Amino acid sequence: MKNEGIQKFLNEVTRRLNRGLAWRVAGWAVLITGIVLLAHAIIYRLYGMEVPWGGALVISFYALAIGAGVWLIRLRNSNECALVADKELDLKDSLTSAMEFEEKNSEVYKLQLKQTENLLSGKKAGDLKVELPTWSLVSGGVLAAAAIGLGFLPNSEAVQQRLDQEALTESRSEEIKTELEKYVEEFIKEMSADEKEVLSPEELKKWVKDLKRTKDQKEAMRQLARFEQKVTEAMSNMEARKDEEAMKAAAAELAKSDQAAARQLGKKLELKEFKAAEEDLKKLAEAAELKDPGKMDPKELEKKLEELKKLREATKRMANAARKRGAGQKKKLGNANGQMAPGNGKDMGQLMDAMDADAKGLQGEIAKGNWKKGDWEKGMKFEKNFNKNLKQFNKNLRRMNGRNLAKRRLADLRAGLNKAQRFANGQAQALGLAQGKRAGQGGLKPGVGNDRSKRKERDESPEVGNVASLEGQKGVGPSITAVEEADSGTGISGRSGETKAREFRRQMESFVRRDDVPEDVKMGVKKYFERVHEVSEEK
Amino acid sequence: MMTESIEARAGEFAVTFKKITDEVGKFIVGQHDIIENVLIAVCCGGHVLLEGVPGLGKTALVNTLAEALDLKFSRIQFTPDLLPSDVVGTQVLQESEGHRGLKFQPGPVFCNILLADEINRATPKTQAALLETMQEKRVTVANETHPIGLPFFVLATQNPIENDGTYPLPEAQLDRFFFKLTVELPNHDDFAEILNRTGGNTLPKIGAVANGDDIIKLGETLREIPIASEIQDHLVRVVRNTHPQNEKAPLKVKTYVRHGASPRAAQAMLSAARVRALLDGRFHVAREDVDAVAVPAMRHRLILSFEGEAEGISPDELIKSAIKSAY
Repeated sequence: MKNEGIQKFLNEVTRRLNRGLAWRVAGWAVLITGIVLLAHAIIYRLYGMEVPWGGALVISFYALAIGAGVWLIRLRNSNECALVADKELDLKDSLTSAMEFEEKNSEVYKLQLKQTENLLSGKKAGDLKVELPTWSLVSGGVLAAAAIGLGFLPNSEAVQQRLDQEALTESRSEEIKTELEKYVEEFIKEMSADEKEVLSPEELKKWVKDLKRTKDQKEAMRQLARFEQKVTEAMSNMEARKDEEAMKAAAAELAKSDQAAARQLGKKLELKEFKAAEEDLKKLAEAAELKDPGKMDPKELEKKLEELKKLREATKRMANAARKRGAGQKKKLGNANGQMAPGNGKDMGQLMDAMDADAKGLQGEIAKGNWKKGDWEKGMKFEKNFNKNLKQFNKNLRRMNGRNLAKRRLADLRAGLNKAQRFANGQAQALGLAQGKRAGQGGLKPGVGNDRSKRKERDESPEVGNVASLEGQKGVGPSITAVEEADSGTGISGRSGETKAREFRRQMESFVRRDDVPEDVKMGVKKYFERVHEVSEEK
Repeated sequence: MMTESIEARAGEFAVTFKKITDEVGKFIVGQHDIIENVLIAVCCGGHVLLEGVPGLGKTALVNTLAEALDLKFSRIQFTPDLLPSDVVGTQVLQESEGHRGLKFQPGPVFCNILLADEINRATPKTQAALLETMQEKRVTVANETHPIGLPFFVLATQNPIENDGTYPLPEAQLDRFFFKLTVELPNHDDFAEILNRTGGNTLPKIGAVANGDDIIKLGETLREIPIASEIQDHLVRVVRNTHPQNEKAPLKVKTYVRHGASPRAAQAMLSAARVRALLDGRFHVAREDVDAVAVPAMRHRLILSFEGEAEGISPDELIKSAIKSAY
């Protein structure tokens, strides 16, 4: 049986002590919050930045939550409160003992309870000292007020400038991504089947997807440079220079022909109109197709033989050109540098050679006259082989055509990326990729435009137009024009052409990745190195 | 079987205790704490070791107490040549009705109050003769056990400064003492009062105010006083804190103590705290009762480490730190 008087007193004591604990915890929470808020504000002000109110709110919330947590954890139960009351009110552990003895019925316990009740009648729970933590509350308040005061100060000029720059970069990076997405979509729509065969639209979309919205101008530039590098690599993979050179040589040889059809074919090859050249070659082959001369009308046969002569003239010239390129070079021809990989393992030179051999064989079979006896088996074999090689040759021509077109498109894309880079680093006020794509369509619609050319009070980018910062200091930095002594070194070059080409590419890439070089200069350097590369290969 | 209510017996306890204290106080000047603690030990049936330099009235206190209690009193002056048989008794050859036989001749321990004066002067063998007597309250001689009448308590004295020709009490024997009390030099006023009381031709007359039954009754009453588990935990914590192995023991204890107090010390503290509660008119034991009796109950039970002995650390100081860390 619980003693009501004792229980009531104990409840009052518990409430009072826990209220006191709440005050103490609140005092500490306010003091710590004040310290943290002030430290938070000072750190931001030292960097010249406006103090973010969000941070202050978070700190205050956490302080409140931690304070409440501490209060709940340290909340005293009635046993602890009894011990405190016994000590503070000089009850000589009467309350603690009474709490335990309440449930017992022996005489001595009842006497103890009675004694405790009598003792408590002269005491009040209010006699327990509960001090307000005035010092910590006031100190915490003062510190918090100081932090709030610092919170009203604006950003310093430099910081504001940086933030504006970041915002601008962020919006521009977003705009670049959107524009590039549209650009690439149009790009893909316009791609022919041949181009799609050599350049995956999904890959293109992935490159654009890899661009991320960023506040960091340098990161934005780096992303664009990476994109450009991928485009350049793709362009490089489309190089079929050796095949093109073979075609060029063939064109030169065909130009010497007295046959108009052969000269026409050579002209088209020279102009890299591979698709048209393919058509011409196909027509020539169809016109000269014999199938079975024994069953043919003599007049028709005569016409066919005439056509075969023209075809032979063309193949002979082309094969000659291929042979002239040298047997040594044949060894080098292969799949390197993304060269054609014909299904039968022959490159363009070999195909031309093979076609001529077949055409010659066919002519030989005609001359032998076996077909008159009904034996056209060998001739058919030559014709079949010729058609097979022609099919492969034409296929390669189509691919070369596709690669050329894709290269041109990628070059456009690269030019677009250069525009984007200029836009990202503030050298241009408008991106205009879509405009570029829709060139000749009359620009934006009336009333639709942008006001980016409007000048604000200060430059959006400290680097815009600041030539000095781009130039650096004269006479400082490593010289790249050092003159070496003529007799220095061994005099023996150990570098192969491939190593040189790699070195050129590396130099170019490292240069285009730099953030501090204007895009125009980069473009110039790129073209220079590409030219150097081409020249070295041609040699 | 007691029929009186606990309230009445508690009242009687306080009255009897006060009567004895007052009676002793007629002769002994000051030393209130010593008198109270000796009486507490007597009520609890425990033995007391009184330590103090000569002339502070240790023997006088025991003599006076014996006079105030109507009990059989013996005194043994411990000397190096004292034999165990001089303490517990021996068998002597006696002739009775024409027959000669060995008969047990009880020693001075067969009494109610035994004053073992300068107990540390006897050899360990003789000191050991008291071991069984103090714990079991009986004597065994020639395979024959002789019980000692109750109440029985040993009040021993020893001089802490004279070490020549002394034999320190073994730990086992020290542990059998309920309290070890240190008798201090009286203050100026008490000094003057001692001279006044003892300087004349007459000495204060001490009369018996209680007997053995009263003492036994007091012991029964005090054992009915309950102790809350929270307070008992405090008592256990205090005792455990004197052990250097205990994690919560204070650093001093860990550094200077080799062995802490035994469970027997906790029993002694509980009994003594109950007496204090009764004397304060309470029906429960408080932590302050436990704390008040901790020093006399444990100071002789702590075994100091080499560092403690070398530094001259007082066990009282260590016990106080153990109490402090128990809160």
